[in-house]
Amino acid sequence: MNKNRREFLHRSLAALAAALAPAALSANWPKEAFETTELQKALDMIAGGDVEEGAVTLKVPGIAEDGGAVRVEVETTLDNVESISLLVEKNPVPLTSQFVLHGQSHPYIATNIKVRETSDVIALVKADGRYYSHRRTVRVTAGGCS
Amino acid sequence: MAKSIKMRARRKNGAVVVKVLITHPMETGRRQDRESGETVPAHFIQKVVGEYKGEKVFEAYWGTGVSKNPYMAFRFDGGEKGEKIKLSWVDNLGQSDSLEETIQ
Repeated sequence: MNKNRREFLHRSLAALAAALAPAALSANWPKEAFETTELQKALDMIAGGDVEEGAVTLKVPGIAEDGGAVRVEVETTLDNVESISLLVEKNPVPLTSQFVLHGQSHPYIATNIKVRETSDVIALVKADGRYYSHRRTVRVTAGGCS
Repeated sequence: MAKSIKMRARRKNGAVVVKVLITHPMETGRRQDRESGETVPAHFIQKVVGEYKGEKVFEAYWGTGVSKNPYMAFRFDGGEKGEKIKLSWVDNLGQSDSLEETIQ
């Protein structure tokens, strides 16, 4: 394929993708990671390799009566935190959410996630281009329609 | 989706603590309707953005694993009492909502 043709194709495809995007807001939604059904694959897609244990604090209830809404809090002492991802090992789709932080943001988030059955919950933090995680088990005593 | 957002932004220890509740079904696309037995189509928020003075201070990408009627909290530096913070979301069906709230 010659260079001009490649450039033309590239530009047309980019234009097409832009036209098809449902809304500008969701353009960067990481579709593949949110469709992966295996924890390890999701971790690989996000971190793409080495993940260190520690430096991250994940707070979860030891026992959750309602797996439909489990409160999780993530905090870290790391500097230059770029993102925080929350994954649930045994959910049909392990990746629940990904938070992107900006200059003024504190490295802290809290949210409610679905934990379908007793499972490990993993907080994955990206800071200075490296990945750190903390894993905790949540025991679910009643199902959460995930 | 008018008034789907409830937000409280408070200045505390030099930072602004923002707590948000959104009314949204967060359907996974795997649940079956009890009466009809049909699968309820996926309907979930994909992105949430928090803005202060026109700059993003918070951004979240969500899948179907976030609870129905989502709750979230975040903190950022620099906001003063009386100033505004804006929150907006968009879901997989292209529906959206936003709200501006005063920092207390």
